[in-house]
Amino acid sequence: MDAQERAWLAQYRAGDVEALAHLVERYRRPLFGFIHNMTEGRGDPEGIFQETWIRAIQKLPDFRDDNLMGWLYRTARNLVIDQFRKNRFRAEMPVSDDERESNWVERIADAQPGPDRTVAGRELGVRIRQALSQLPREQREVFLMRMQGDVPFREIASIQRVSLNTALGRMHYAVRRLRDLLKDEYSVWTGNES
Amino acid sequence: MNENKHQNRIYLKDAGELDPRDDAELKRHLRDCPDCRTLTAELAALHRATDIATPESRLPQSSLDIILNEARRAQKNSGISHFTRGRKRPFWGIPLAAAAAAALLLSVRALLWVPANRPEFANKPIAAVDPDGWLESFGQELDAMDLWMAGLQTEFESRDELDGLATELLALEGEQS
Repeated sequence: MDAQERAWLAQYRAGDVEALAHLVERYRRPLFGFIHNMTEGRGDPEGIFQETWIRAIQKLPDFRDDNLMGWLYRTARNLVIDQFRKNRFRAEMPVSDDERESNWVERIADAQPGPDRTVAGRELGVRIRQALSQLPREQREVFLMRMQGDVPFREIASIQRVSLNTALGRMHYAVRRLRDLLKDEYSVWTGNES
Repeated sequence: MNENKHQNRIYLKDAGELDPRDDAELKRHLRDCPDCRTLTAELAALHRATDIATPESRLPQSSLDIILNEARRAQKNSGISHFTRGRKRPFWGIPLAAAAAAALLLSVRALLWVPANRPEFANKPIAAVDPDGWLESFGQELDAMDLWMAGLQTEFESRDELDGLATELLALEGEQS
């Protein structure tokens, strides 16, 4: 947490509820993005976001850790897993992978354009989200927590209850898989156009 | 195996978790390893890509309202502020303290109860049975306690004062035990 976030937390603990609004806004985009990418837009990402904060409210008075973001990710991740468990049987509907994926991507692309609002930026965002959705859940979790939430690897390892080396290995597999899935984009990004 | 070590160090460096000694070693390694330099560039690119892939989604006002209302409710339930939570004096201390004081008074009274059929020593002058004046001073203490109890009854409505008294009594009890 930076100094401003610590100050908001202190103000909230002193009774200033509006200070919490600043914290929610500060973490909104990465946290909501993580939930969205983990649920692939299905279920109730907004509900999970709210529930994450409601749990945080119960925890904040006694929160002594310096990594609120890591804690929020941990809670959100557990809620996403719970939702998948609850909806496991409902999810077994005869919908093809292509159809499911295209629905999800369309919903996000239509309703929530990324920061780069050009058509090219939107298309790129869609392709990246498609690639992310093809990663195994554990690898996607590590990748999103690290790249989107800036959660340290040691915290990720603790959240996933694995060793640091396993978390790093999952990250590396995710990067390698994305390298294959986003071959065209990669050549431009890394300057290795052939 | 060695390559894995360097890859892990690249990820840890990106996360700001790399030990300074390993960092120096990694820098030396990067000079000679094009694959690791590519991985470093990939990570930087993936940061940008992930940012693009993150839905912008504005949080609906209704969601924020739900969160803030929950926070207000939590703060209201826990007292004026979270800092005072847990320090609130217990209300049950008042009747407990009053009962303890009454029990003490009754037990002392019972010890000093004088039967109607007074014993022989009761008819003697007090100086004969209590040459040191102990009984007299103890009687004065009892009178003071009576006054204190009367005051306690009249001031019973002053809850804060009684609450403080109860807390002090409980603290004293805690120290003694």
